[in-house]
This record gives sequence, structure tokens and C-alpha cells, in this order.
Amino acid sequence: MPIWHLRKLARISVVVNDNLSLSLLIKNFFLPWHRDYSMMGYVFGLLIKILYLPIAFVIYLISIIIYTIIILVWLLLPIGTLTFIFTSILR
Amino acid sequence: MALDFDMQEKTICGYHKRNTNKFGILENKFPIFQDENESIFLLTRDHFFSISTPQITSVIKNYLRYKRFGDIKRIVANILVLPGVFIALAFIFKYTGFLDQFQPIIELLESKLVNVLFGISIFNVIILWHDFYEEKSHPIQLPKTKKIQQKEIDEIKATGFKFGRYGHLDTVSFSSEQTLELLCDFTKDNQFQTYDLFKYLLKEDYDIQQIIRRSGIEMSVSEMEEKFKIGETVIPDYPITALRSILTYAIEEAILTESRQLEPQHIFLAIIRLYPQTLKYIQTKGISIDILREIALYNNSLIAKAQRTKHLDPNIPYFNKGGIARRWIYGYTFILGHFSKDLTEEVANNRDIYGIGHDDEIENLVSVLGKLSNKNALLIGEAGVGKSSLILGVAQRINTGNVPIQLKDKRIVQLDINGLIAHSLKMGNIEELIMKAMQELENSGNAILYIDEMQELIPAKAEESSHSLAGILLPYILNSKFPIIGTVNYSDYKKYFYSNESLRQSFTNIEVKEVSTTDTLKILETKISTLEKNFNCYITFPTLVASVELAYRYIKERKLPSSAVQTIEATCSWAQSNSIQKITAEHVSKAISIQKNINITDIDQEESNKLRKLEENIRKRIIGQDEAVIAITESLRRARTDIRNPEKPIGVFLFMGPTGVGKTYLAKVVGEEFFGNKSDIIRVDMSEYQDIDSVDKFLGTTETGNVFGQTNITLVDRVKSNPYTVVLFDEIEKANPKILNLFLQIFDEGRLTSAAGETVDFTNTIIVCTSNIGSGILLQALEQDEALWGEAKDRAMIELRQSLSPELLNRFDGVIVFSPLDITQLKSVAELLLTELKKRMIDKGLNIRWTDQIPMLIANKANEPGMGARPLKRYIQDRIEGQIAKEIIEGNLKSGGEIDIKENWII
Repeated sequence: MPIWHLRKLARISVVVNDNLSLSLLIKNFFLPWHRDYSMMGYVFGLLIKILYLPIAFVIYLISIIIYTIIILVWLLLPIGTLTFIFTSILR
Repeated sequence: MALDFDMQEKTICGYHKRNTNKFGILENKFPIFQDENESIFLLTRDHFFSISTPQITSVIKNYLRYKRFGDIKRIVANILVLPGVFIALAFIFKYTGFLDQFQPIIELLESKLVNVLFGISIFNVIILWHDFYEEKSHPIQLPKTKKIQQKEIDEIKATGFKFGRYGHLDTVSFSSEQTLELLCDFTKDNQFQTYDLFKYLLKEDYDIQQIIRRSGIEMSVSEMEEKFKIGETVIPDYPITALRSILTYAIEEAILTESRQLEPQHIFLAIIRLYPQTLKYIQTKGISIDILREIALYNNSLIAKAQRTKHLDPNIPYFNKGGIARRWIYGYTFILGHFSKDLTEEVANNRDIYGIGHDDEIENLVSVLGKLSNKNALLIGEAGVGKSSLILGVAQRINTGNVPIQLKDKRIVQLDINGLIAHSLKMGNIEELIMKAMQELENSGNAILYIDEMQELIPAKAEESSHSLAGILLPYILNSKFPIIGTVNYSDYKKYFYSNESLRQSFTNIEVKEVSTTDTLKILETKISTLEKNFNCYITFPTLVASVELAYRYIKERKLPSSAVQTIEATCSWAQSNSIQKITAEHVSKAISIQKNINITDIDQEESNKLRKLEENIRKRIIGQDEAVIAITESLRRARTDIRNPEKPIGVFLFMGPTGVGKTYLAKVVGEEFFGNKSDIIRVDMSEYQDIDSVDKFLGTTETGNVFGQTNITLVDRVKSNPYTVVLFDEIEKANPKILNLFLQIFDEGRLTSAAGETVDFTNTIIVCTSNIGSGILLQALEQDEALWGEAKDRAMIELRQSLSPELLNRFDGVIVFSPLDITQLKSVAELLLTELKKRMIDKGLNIRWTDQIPMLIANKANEPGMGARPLKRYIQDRIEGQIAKEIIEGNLKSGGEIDIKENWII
């Protein structure tokens, strides 16, 4: 498998993670909402992150999976096509 | 100062002679190697490019065939994909039931033929995908390179090339398809038709027309052939082996112009550079190869700017930006938002480049802001050097994420002091307002406070500005937990910061220097599109070069890049008001000439005549001082034709001689003839600068004031406000020796550093010093015997050498002893004075007439040996002006009347 596809996969992972602020929010999970150190700030911050993080994580996973599928298709398509052509002829 | 494009220092061309196994550097020579045993290569800081004859031969033989094969392959693949698309659609229709009524089609879909056809289509999809993948994953991209250090070049010269240190790259692999196609098309029977290709490139586009248009010139083959005899004899055909050299020079052009690949335009530039005749051709048009390259570079920067940043491309570096939730973890600045602006947000959607020419300062500022303690920075620099742009440059780097982890997600917030005052008037309690804003800043966790003109917050300055904010705001700033960037100019730093220990300790000083002319040109390039849009004009590249050069030379009161930006804006504005659509370098000269009231445009016929007759004209007004007149007019001609050294005053002269012989008058006449009537000369009586304290006064200390408490206008102020003038230092020998030492800097470097730390420019002044040294000797000679004048002059010069230091005397362009005036010369002076009087009278509607005897009569009557022409002036004033006044009062002479000067008035 060409290294370029793996590098691209790694880049997608970095960009999606950065754009969704995934690791940033995990690192600052217990920091209150906009640094409002009142009870309200803490509760609101936690609530938002509990709601947001799973959604972001799913988007992150979907992006990774889609590109992994593309790589697999890229890898398997030539073999699959040739197999398909030969089996069609031989059938 | 001519612009230094310093492009050539990025590459080195080398050669190898196989027979002798000799390697060497090609310095400013561009040989075309045709012999197979001689090869050429190009070296950058990290790579070396080479090209071999088999590579060239293979390209010429096979490229067109390979290209044709590729084109056919793509066409066939595209055609074969189509059945697959139809079959796929048919399957979809079959499973959705649309084809239930078309049984033959259903049967056909289940046949072996359709299956094979579908497989072939998929296979062609793979072929097309592979092509796409190849293009995306391995884009042709020439590496960007930096300057090769002189040390490295010396090492190569001493020890030879160490090829192991460099990455090897093939020149051919960086050639674009268009380039390879042209090489094939213009190689016939193993001969490369260089001139035919050159003509073709000039005729066709390949972005070359864009370069020529921007350079403001027109290039035509017929003109080249007819006027410059450029043809096949100058640009000959070469055997195929010579292509190695041509392509090496072309790839050098591609690297220097920061192009992605070797394009036809680089071959064009290489051909221009290779032949002296082509270089001469463009030189006569007023441009150089450096300008053409810079335009190509500018065009490439436009392409790069227009391209979207490809974050997902693994070949391009990516910096984390924080993402959509990055603000959630930082505090709000609601109150501060009313009187501040977020610079990081402001530059986020702006594709302009900020901080050009301040790379070191940006690095320094980033490292200071990233520190754990004492992370406040004070940018010190003159107005216009680009302090604000530097901060925007840091904001831009924060946005791209190209900063250390401590500065990630930070935002630069600029405090608007006037906004704060206005908001405080609305809110009432200013102290509470500032306290809340500062709390917000501390709490935010990601704010960097930027205060422009920081001196406004220093209590001493604030008293002058009569606002009361400083006292409240400053303690918060000094004890802040957030980083602060302040800007201040040198004089205010010296005045308000230098003496304040706590302030000095709180900030790390970063000196912001004036950017180089080359960087200023880059800054102007970023403004082309905005200027063209705003002023509805087309800016040629020499306009930018002229703006930089002329601003550097003539607008000394502001620094680069601000002076150059103002110049180009003024030129565009002037051009718009004069309905000029295509702006050239001449328009810049014109705009500066108008703005500064000086003449820097090209010399036209009228002015050429005036300059030729300058000596004659001055001689008509200055009687009997030919030596002084010649010395002065020569320096003026040098100045006007731009031959003089621009780093020095136009001329520095010392005039000696008895009183009344025209020393001061010559200075005035020069002021009128060269700088125009509007420009008054600056006269400084050096007897006022005798004691040691007067040094401060001379340097324009801010504390000098008169008895009424008003600030005196000093020499420094006068030269600053009128830098194109004659400065007359009267009786310099009376000045304190410390002041004479300051003269060394003025005479030698054309500048003086004032008490306030500003640099005052004297490079556009003519400096005339007068001295009475030796006047006793000269006067004695005149009284005794005029034949002794020559000897007296020598003795006076000896006395001068004893009185003034040799360093100072050496810096004068000429020391001229003014000769005494004999009776005939005094007669001519009398004539001049009478003519001046006549002019004054004509303004009042009166006319005076005199006979030929009158001037001689005045000269004889008024002559006082050793006193020169002054007694004549007094005599005319007393006898003639007095009589005319009497006639007017008595009613004998009325407006429109005429009067004859009578001999009895004089006798």
C-alpha cells in the first residue's frame, strides 16, 4: 500500500480532530464554560461537553472509516475487477 | 540607493570537464556547453540539479509519443467507462422494476458480454483513478531555497564540491508538459532552434506577455531585429547537447522566481539573460533581468494567494488551530470588547501577508510572548517602520498555528484608548470600567493586550495629552498576568521609558528597524491589486521600484516602508486626477516633485538648457567670484543628473574672504536657482553656539524655549520641515569645538541625530559655511597693495588650517577664498542693485531710469577698500531711494510716473 494513502489518513485524523477540537476539549474537560468559575459555569461546561464530545467523536470515526474504506477499495478494486472479468468470461 | 534584488545568491552554476576531471563555479558567465565531455549543474543550498544528454535525447525522441499515448489512453478509458455507467443505471432500473416490461434488456443484463463489459469499464475507472492519484500524490514542485552563505561558497572554492551534502534532482523531471512539448517542437535534426523558440515565446502567451506588460515596456521581434540586430547570429541554433546548459539556466530562473516547475517563461528569461544584446535591448527600455524576474515572482505569489490552502494534502504542513470549540475554554471579554479590537480575527480572512521584512523581530516577539515570566514586549521604532504590521504578522502566525504551544489559540486584542475614554463617559465610573476590563483580560486566558503608542499611558505624557487614564491603567499593566505588547518611538522611549526603572524592567525591548528596500518592494507588491482597484489604473513594476528608491532618497522624514507606500498612493491619486491609466516610474518622479516642490523628473530640453546656462545665470548675479560660482554650479549639475553620492549633502563649501564680496548672497542665489524661489535658505549664526551648553541647543533639545515659554525653532526643526534648501553656517570658527565635531557627521554622512534621538537628513541640502579666519590678513593686503592678494590668500589658508581640524577641512568639497571687488566689478554690482530697485519700483507702478555714468559714479563714491559691495547698498539706499521717497512725498512722482536718477543725487 502506498505510504501516501497512510499519510493522507493520518492527516485526515489530525485535521478532523483539530477542527472538532476533540483532544482540546478532552484535555480541558473539567474547565468551566468560558472560565466562569461559578457552579453554573462548571455545570454548563460539563453538560455541553458531555453532549458535544460523543457527536464529535462519531464524526471523527466516520471520517476515518470512510477513508479506510476508500483505501481498501483502492487496494481491492483492481484484483476484484480482474476476478470479475475472468469469472464472467469463464462462467 | 539602487535596489538589491539579491536573487543570484540563492543558486550557483557549476561545471565539470570530464577530460581533466575539473570542477568549477561559473561566476557571472553563461557558457553553452556543447561538448559531450563538459557538463553543467546547478547548486542550491540543499540540492543540486543535473541533466544529461541521454535524458535530453530521450525526451526529444519519446516525449511526444508518450504524451500521445497518454492522451489516447485517457480518451479510450473515458469511452470505455461509459458502457459501465449505462449498465450500472440499467441494473438500478432493473431492481427498481422499471425494466420489467423490457424483457430483452433484462436478459441482456444477465449475459456474459455485459458482465465482461462492466468489468472492463471498472478497470478503466481504475486507470483514470490512478492517473488522478499520481497527479495528486506526486505533484511537481520545485523546492524553495534560501540564500547560500558566502562562507559556503568560499568553502566550495577552496575544497571543491561535496555532492554528498546535497540532494540530487533531475532538471527534466521538473519541466512542465508545455516546456517539454516546446523543446520537442523546436528541435529539428538534432538542432535546437533557440531563436525560433524565442520569437515563438514572444508571440504566444505562456504568461510572458503578462510579465512584459507589467514591466511597462513593449517588446517586438521587428524592433529587435532592425534596431538591435538580434537574430539567428546572436541567438544561434545549437546541437541537442547544448540544451543541458539552456535548461540549467532556465531551471535557475524557475528556482529564483519560486515557481512550481520549469515553464516556458523561464526559458524566455534564460535566453534574455544569456546574450548581451538581449540584455542591452531590455536595458534601453529601462528595465533589467532582475525586474523581469521579480515580476515573475510576483505573478507566482498571486497564483499561490488565489489557491485555497489544502489542509488535507499531506505534502503541505498543517498547524493545529484549535477548532470550533477552542473559544469555549477561554473567558469572555464583553466589557473590553467595547473599546478594543481582535486583531487575530481581523486578519483571519485576509490573505495579505503582514510583517514582511520583520522576520527576526517576529521571531523575537513570539519568543518573548511565549515566556513564562516577563512576557511583555515593547516594540521600539520610528513611525512608519511597520510596528503594527509586525503585530498583524504575529496574529497571522497564531491563526495559521505556526507558533509555540504557549501561543496556540491566543488572540491579540488592541486597546483603543480613545474608545475607552468615550465609553467611560457613557458608563460613568472609569476606574470600575478599567478594573472590570483588566479582570476580563486576566480571566480570559488567551488574550494578549496590544497598546499602540504606549507612551500615552505614561503619567508624564498623559499630563501633556490632558487625559487622566494613565494613572489608573498603568498599575494594572505593570502587574498584569497577561502578555502585553506596546509600541513606542525612539524619542518617546527615551523621554518616558528610559528614566522609569519599573517600566523598563516590565518590558523586553524589541527594536524594530527600518525594512530594506527589497522588502519594501515586496510590501508594495502586496498592495498592487488594492491600488489598481481603488484608483482604476494599471501599475507597472518600474513604478514600484521608483517608489521605493525615490521614497528612500527624498522622503527622509518617514521611514520605509511607510514612505514608499505613501509615495505610491500619492502617485496613484495624482494619476487618477490626471486621467492617467497606466502608471510608470516617471509619474512617481512627477508626484514626488509636486509633493516636495523639488525637481526630480528626467531632465527635459528646457531644463537641460537651464542647467547648461546655470553658471552663466549665477555669474550675472554674483560679480567677480568665478571660482566659487564654478564650484557650486558643478555640484548642482551633479545633483540634478543624479551622479552625486546620495548619502552625502549635495555640496559642502567653505567661503572665506573679506566682508561684502557676496558670500551670503551666493548662498541665496543658489537657493533661488536650484531649489526655487519658495525655498528660503536656513541661516545659522554660529556665534550663538560658542559655549558648551549650546550643543544641546544646536541638537534641538526640547527644553529650549524663549522668555515667553514658547519653544524655539531650532536648526533641526527647520531642516526637518524643509530638507531641500541651502544651509548657511555663518562664522563657523566661532562655534564650540564640540559643535564642529557634529559637523563631521553632517558633512560625511548627511545626517544628524537630534537631542530627541531622531535622525535629521541633510542629504538634500547644500551646506555653505562662511569664516572670517584670515580676514585680517586679507584686509591688510587690500589696504596696502592689491598685488599682495595672492600671498595674503595663502597666508589666510595657513591660518585656516591652524584654526580648524584637518578632519573638518577634509570634508569640505571646496574651500573658496572670495576675491575683493575692483572698481569695474563694483560698477557691475551697482548696476545690479539699481536693476533690483527698478524692479521694486515697477511693482509700485513707477519707473526709474539712469544713464551709463550713474553706476560708475556710485561705485566711485561708495567704494571703501576692504568693505566690498555693502557700502554701495547703503549709498543707493541713502541717496537714491531717499530722493525717490522725497519726490513721492512731495507729490512730484505718482503712480505710472517716471523718474531719472540725477548725478547731483550722488555727488
